[in-house]
Amino acid sequence: MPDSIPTWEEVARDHGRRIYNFAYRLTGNPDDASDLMQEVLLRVRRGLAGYTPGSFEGWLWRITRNAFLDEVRRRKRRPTVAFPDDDRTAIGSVPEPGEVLAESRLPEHLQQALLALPFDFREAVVMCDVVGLTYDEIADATGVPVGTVRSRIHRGRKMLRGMLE
Amino acid sequence: MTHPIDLLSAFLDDELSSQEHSMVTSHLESCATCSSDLAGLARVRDWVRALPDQEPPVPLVPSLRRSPRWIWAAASAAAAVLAIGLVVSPAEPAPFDLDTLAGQHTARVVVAPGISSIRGPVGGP
Repeated sequence: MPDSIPTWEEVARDHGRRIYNFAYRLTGNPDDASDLMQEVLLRVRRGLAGYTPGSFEGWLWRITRNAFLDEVRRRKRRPTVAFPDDDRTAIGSVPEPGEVLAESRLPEHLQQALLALPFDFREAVVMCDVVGLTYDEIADATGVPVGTVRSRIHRGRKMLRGMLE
Repeated sequence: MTHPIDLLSAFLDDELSSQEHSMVTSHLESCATCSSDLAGLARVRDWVRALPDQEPPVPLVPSLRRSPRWIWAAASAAAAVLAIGLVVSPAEPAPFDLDTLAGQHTARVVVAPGISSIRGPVGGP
């Protein structure tokens, strides 16, 4: 993305699909992912007026994670519709270590394992391996040092390996 | 021997400084444990990166003209509560008495001596 202010239509067209996939991998639910994507794009539309050219990726993904965390907080007040987060994981549905994973079911098992990760690790792994952000961009989006990002990605992958192998 | 375990993922992602990268590279040449860990981490990374791309269920730009689902759900719930409220607890009807009501809309007119009165709507024939 060049250092100019894009229109929200451009953001939706160029980034909407990545935002949706980020949201889908964090929530594991297409409806929640769709709502989150729309919320992010609405926030982008409102926020573009105040955006100063710079790290667009950091700005966009900061908005995205804030929208996700706001929704987590909103649903914690209404616990019957909780998002998966640190306190509510789907560990029960993760295959036992060593289970032979049929190739066709790997994505499903992997999604369940992602949902079982604590949020900070899941977010870092998804930002890195699904969205394709660099460690610097993840640090910018999440507001933590690059060393913390490095650690979260590494520990997240180790946990996934422990659950899946 | 100190194993650079915490650097292996960043090594995979090419996110190490050149000095760290050289150090990990030379360590891997002689450490089967870290080489095995690196291979396992690479497998996991490849799995996540190979997760199928999900198609957004709605067109991206037109979707902005719609409110998120939860807003519609909340509005529907509010409407349902209102409707139930009207059915279950209808407003108490005011006491109704036909004579009283008629009295409010009629005038008493003396037509002729001997005929005490007649009733009719105000302004009526």
